[in-house]
Formats: sequence, structure tokens, C-alpha cells
Amino acid sequence: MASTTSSPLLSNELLARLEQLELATRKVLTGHLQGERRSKRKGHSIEFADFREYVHGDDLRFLDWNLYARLDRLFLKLFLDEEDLHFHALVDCSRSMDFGSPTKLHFAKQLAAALGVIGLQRVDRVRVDRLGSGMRELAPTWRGRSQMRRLIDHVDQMEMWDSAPDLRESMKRFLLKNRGTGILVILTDLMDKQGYEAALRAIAGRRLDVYLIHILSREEIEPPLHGDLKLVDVEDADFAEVSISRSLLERYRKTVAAFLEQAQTFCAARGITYVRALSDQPVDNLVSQVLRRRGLVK
Amino acid sequence: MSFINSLPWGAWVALAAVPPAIIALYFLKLRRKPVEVPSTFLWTRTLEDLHVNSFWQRLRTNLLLLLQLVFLALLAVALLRPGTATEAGTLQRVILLIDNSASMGAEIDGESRLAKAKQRATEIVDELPAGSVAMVIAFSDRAQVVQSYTDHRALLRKKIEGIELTNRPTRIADALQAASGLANPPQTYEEGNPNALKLAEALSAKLVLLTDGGWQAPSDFALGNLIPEYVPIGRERPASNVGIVAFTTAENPEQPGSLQVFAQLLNSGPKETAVDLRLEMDDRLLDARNDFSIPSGATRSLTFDIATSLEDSVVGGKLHLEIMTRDDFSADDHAYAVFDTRRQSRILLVTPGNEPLEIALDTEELVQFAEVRVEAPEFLTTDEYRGLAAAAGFDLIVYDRCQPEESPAANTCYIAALPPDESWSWGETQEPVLIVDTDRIDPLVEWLELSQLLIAEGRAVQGPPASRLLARSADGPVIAVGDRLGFQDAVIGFPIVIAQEDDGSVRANTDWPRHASFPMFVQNLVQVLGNAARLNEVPLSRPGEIVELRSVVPYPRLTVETPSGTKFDVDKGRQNSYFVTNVEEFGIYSAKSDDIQVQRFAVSLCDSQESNLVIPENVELGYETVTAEAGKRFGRQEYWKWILLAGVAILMIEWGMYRRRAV
Repeated sequence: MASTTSSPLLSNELLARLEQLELATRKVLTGHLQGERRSKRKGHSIEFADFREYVHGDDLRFLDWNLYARLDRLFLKLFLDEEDLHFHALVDCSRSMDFGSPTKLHFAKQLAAALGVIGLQRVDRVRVDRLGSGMRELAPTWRGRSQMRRLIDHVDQMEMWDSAPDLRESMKRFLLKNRGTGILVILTDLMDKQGYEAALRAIAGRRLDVYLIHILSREEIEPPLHGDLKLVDVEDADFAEVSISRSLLERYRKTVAAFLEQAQTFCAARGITYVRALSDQPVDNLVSQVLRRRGLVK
Repeated sequence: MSFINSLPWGAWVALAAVPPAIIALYFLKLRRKPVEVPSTFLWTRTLEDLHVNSFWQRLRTNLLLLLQLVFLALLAVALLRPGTATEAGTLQRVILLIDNSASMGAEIDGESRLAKAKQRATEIVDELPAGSVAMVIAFSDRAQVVQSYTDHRALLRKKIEGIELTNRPTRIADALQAASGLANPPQTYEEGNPNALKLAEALSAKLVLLTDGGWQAPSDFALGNLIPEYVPIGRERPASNVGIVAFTTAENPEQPGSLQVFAQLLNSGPKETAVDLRLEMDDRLLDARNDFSIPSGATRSLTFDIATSLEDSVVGGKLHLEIMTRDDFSADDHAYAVFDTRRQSRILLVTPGNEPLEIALDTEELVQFAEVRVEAPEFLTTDEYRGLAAAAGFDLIVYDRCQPEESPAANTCYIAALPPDESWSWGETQEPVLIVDTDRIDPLVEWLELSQLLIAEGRAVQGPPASRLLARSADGPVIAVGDRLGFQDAVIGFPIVIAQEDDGSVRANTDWPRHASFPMFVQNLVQVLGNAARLNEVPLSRPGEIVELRSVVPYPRLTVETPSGTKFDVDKGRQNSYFVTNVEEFGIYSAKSDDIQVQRFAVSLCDSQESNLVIPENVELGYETVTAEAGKRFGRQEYWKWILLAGVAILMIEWGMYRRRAV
């Protein structure tokens, strides 16, 4: 089921198309450095946003003197602030991702790289990591177009975990390292026997605009199996003995549907944007259509 | 719908253990193909709710296992032999009468009639409703109860299969008697007696006759509680058969000293048939006939004149007539005969003097084949006489007015004397004796005219029961012949001479010696009772008959060799007779004692009823005509074949699915 892809992670056409896009966030996020982004926070850019009455302590530089002359009242002129954005992408590199055609991992890497490239183009701070990385394996943060190639190479070279920490532990490690705000995109298949709920619950409380890209392969949705089988879990060598029959497959399909539905509901309840993706789906299509619709890119 | 249990209980227990074994093996030995999946997470979730009743769920979802169990169930049902009873299915008792006579060996399309009869009998047994009992009787010229009443079908089938063909003719009387034994038990019966005792409960039964006909039921047989059914065997097509129904040898009356062979052939086939015949003597071709044509349903006789002079053939010969043209029935295509040329007949005349008789015994004709010894009555007390009499040293002993102490081992003729046995006695004295009636058939007095004889005095003779009266006077029999353990005693109630003087003059009692009938009577006596003939034709025997052999020398036992070379010993019975009982093969048998040939005899079918292969439309049984009911379903319609077929189909589907899954 695993397949290796010799083609470059992002094709030139895709890169060209990504140039048109930028990352967006629905939350007001504070960056440290000025970026090419209009912040929701009113600030110092030249773009006018609104007026408000002066209160004590406001910067006098932003008073609208013309209005004062006309109305004899003090109004503060508000401008949109331009700021940089923290973009985090966490790629699930567990063995279960090494399935599908192309593999879910390949798809996840492509998507993470594509989103990272979009961020770099707008001078955002971009970091793409393996889900579950500790302090020592921490990836560098990139900023600026010049880092684009390094970012792509880094993502391309991300390796599979021999034994991945579970989702909750991975998320805990991430939150310990990143206390700031920003966009967090988690690319995973959510196949964690301990459950994904605790992990997502932990992340939902932070000031992060969280996107969960739930990647499944087509083989997982419609398993091409028949006969009496011993299904072996590639991660923990656990096995399940099944005799495939039509009714069992029907039941499995229902389980998958329930699983997806449950994840979606869970995410929606916690302000996490849930996006479902199939590993054989074209990445550009997902980025330019689905994610634009969901507000991650514009 | 009813069932017949065709397996013993032990087998059922073993069969019942198979489904659990299949299920156990299925789960223990299920060959699961290992397949890697990204995670068993979703699968275990899927299976979780199945685990509540996982055992039954696994059973339910596994079609292969289900099919195997269904196959087993079908097998078990087939073994129970479900079926529906037809109109005759309610009968509880069946007697199967299977004909295994020679004619059942006729072949129809390579299969004998007996095989077909056995097959049909097995079908009938199989069709019987549950709980019915059946009895099997095989019959030829005697009946053999192969299996008495039982409901054990396997045993019945085995016994039916074990019935073998015999070479015997068909006599059904014994078989009917055996069959009727249970259906019509005897009862003490007394006119008007209300206490007449029934010995056994009368059990009505169905009497199934599997036969090709060729018999006649005894006229006094009553079916009683038996319900007859006639299943004709071999009616598929008319059988073609030409068979030898008679084969005898005799001296040619026109050319004394030469032999004639007579044969009679019957064509029972549907059309006129021409056959080739071959006659062999002592394994040498003697004569042959080609294209001897016999019309359909007719018999035709033919005679072979054998040029060989009887004087030349010292020990006689073996004759074998064969129909060379093949037909459906081969047992009657061969006939055998044996003839012996006789040594001279040895006759002892014990008389105080009887010139007319001595003269009559000394004719030129008689001297050729009889050696006559004349002795006085005193001879009877000598050891020589006793030895010769006991060892059958004479063929005929004539006691003229004297009586031995005991009957000799020879035929006898008593003149004015009685055999020493108490079964003979004198009647009234008659003076004169007027013969009013003479037996015209008995060979001793055949063609003799005795009514004109003048007889001065005589006495009536009372013979043993079943003695033959040859001549009768107004007051009782005067010449009689009685049987005595294979010998014959002739008694003449009047003397021929009363006294004979020393000078040779005779005081006669009758003028019989002056009549032509006297020398003729004496010649008959010598030929019939003295066994005097140039040709001694050994009577033909048929398979199953008891053959009595006689030897002059009292061998303690004879070794009989059958045509196939088997040998067996026969012990001497009374008066040098030997009874051979197990005569089954066709051909020439020889009886020897230490390589000395004592006697031979021939066994052939020669039975026009057996050779007639036409199957009668109906048979007469005890005043009742029973019509053939071939092809009728006897008891029940069975479904096990269809069920088994369905089982095989399921097995094939199961195999196909297994193959598909294993890919």
C-alpha cells in the first residue's frame, strides 16, 4: 500500500499558483515583527480603518485634527496594522500514514509544504514539524521567500517515526514549545487508539487558529478486502481476525462514517476547522478551493 | 412423508459428532491471510459490537461454514431416506419369491434374468414403508427360505444379493407352501366344534412372485390370506432360444447291435430359427447337422444313427449333443448321455425240476445276453449261495417252488412260492385258476394273452402295498410284482409243473408252456428283471435329482467325479446302492472306486418348461389368475437421490467459494 513518490514535493505549476494566495486567520493575532499582513488589530499602517473617541492615554499622533476643528471633539483615527503571522504545520509521521496511493504522508507533506510556501511568500513565520517532535528535533522557523527551498527540502526529508508518541503527548509537546498565537494546521489521520479528543481539547483552549486536515486514503474508506483475514496493525502489530462479508464491510463503512462525523462534530464544537481530505486528491485543488472556502487561504 | 433409518445408531452418533467437529475445526484451523492495515482502530471498532454475540455472528457471516453444515444436514436427511408411501405402502408383510431355476440364467442384454429379479426385489425392499417386514424365498425345484421375516433392510438386500442361479427346473409347490405357512397357519378343525383351536394368528401378506414362469402351481393350493402379485422378469424383449428338451439313446430295432440317438429341440423364440448341431462321442465328432430349422414355438425331433456296432464298444460311451448356434439361453444348448454295453445277465434258477422253464431259458435269443445257472433247492443252504446272494452275484433269481431264508440282493421271481418277507401272503386256493384280466402296459406281460390258459390249481397272491397286479383271476391276483428296496419281486401264484419224475416226465399244472406267451414271458422276465439287454441305457438325470447308483461289488464307498473335476465320496447304502445327492452341474459324472470305474451317469437340463423362455402374461395361483404388474411402484416414492444431488451441488458451490476466497 505504501508508495514512494519520486516526483518533487511541489511542482512548479503548483508553486506558481500558490503565489496568488496568502494565509488568513479569523482571529486577531499579534505578531512580533511587522509583516505584509493587515492585522485585525488597528495599528500603524496607512490604510484607514475607523474612528473612535479619544480616551486618556491615546497616542496624540493619531488624533484627527480636522475633525477636532470641525466638531470640537477629539477623535482618534484608526489605521489597520500590518503584522507578521505565525504559521505552524504539524505533520503526522506515524506508520499509519504510510498507506494509500499516493501515501497519506506524501499528501500531508505536500499540503504542509504548500501552506508553508504561501506563508513565506507573505513574510510570515513558518514552521513545519513532525507531530510529536520534542525540543531536540525542533524544526527551524523560516521567514521570507528566500527560505522557500529550504522549507520544501525540510518537509520532504521528514521521516516516519519508528514508534510515534500518541496524539495527546505530541500536542502537549507542541504547546510547551509554542505559547504564542498563530495558525496551527494539523495534518493527521486521527488513527490513535488512545483517542484524539484529549489532544484536540488541549489545543482548543489556546489562542491558535487551528485547522485539522483529516487525511484518509481511499483504501481505508473502501477496503479492497475479501476472505478470512488477519488484519495486522502496522504501528503496534495488533491484529484483528475478520471474515470479510458484505455485511461486515457495510458495518465497517458505517463505522468510518461515524468516525468522520464524530471528528467533525468534535472539532466544530471546539472552534477547530475540520477539513477532510483523501490522499489521492490533488493538493492544489484542496488548497485553492477547499481551504480558501474554509478561510485558511485567500 | 416417512423416513427409513438406514444407519445403525452407532453410525448416527458418529455422524452427529461431525458438525461440532466441523465448527471446531473451522475456528481452530481457519487459514487467515495476514494483511497489513494502517490501523486496526476502525476494524476493532467495527467488530466491537459484534463481540457481544460474536460466536453466532461469526457463524452467521460465514457462508462457507454454513454451506458445509447444510451439506451435512442434507446428507443426514438422505440417510434417513425420506419418501412418500404409495397406495400399496400400507402393507406390512411381504414375501418375495425369487425364481432361481435354470431358465433365470437366460441373458437379456448381457444381464441374467436372475440379476434383474434380484435388482427388482431389492427395489421392492427399498420401497417398503417403514416398519414393514419382508421374507425372501428362492425357489427352483425346491424352496429355500433365504431370509425369514425381518425389517432389517440391509440384511434383506444382502440375502437377496446372495441368491445364486441353479441349473434346476422350476417347481413352485414347496415355495408356495413355505410362503403360505405363516399367512395361513394350520388349525385344528372339527365340524361343529366351537373349541377348534387356532395354532397361530393368520397374518395376511403380500406374495410377490419374481419369476419368468415355466411352472404350474399345484391345483390344490389355496392363497388364503396371501395377496399375490406377479412380477414377470425378462419381458423387456422376447428371448430367442432353441434348446434340447430330450436326448436319449436306444438300440436300433431295425439293426440290432447298432445305436440310435434321439433328440428333440424346442424353439421358444419369436421366429423360425435354423441351428447347427454337433454330436460327439467320447470327445470325438460323431455327427453334425447344419441349418436344422425349427418353426417358432414348435418342437422338432431328429435321430442320429450311429454306425458303431455295440459289440465293438466294450465299455460304452459318452455322448454330447451341442447346439452350435448361440442364443439367449445357453444351459439347454448342451445335452449329455451315457450308454453302457452290458455284460451278460446272470440268472439263477433254483428248482426241484422244471423242464419247460429250463427250455425257455435256453433259447438261442436268450443265451446271447443271459447266463443261466440251474440249481436244486438244496443250493439255497450253501455258503456259496449266501455269498452270491448277498453280494448281488445274480441279476435275477427264480425260485421255483422253494423259498430262500431271506431275500437276496437281486430281482427275484417266485413260482408257487412267496418271498420270505412278511409283506407277501397267500390268498384263497383256486381250482382251477381262470385268468380274467392281464395288465397290458407292464413290460413283463405286455402283449401277452393269458386268458386262455388252463391252470389246474393255484392261489391268490397278496403283495405288499403298491405292488402291481399283472394277472388276475376271478378270485384274486395270480401274478404280482412288488418293490423291495430297489429290487423287484415277481410272484406267480401257480406252479408250472407239480413234479418231475426222474425219467424226465413232467406232471404239469398248466398248459402255459404250450402257449407262445410262455417263452415271451420268460424273455421279458430275463430282460426286465434280469437287466438283460445289449445296450444298457443309463437314465438321464437332471440337476437337483438324487441319483441312485448300483454296484455289483459292495465297495464301501464310491468316489464321484463331477464334470468340472470336483470329487466327493458317497458311502454305500443298503444292498449296494449309493445315493448321489449334490448333482448340480451339467455333464457326465463318473463313480469310481480306486480307479475302477463303477458307473457313469449324465446330467442335462432337457426340460421343455425351462427351455421355453416365453413369459406368461398371467399365472394361475390357487384358483386365481394373477396378472403381471411390471413397473408398478410397490411401496414408496423415495427422495434421497434428489437430496443427495442437492447436497453435492451445495458442496460444489462451497468449493467454488472457497477457491474464490483463497485467491
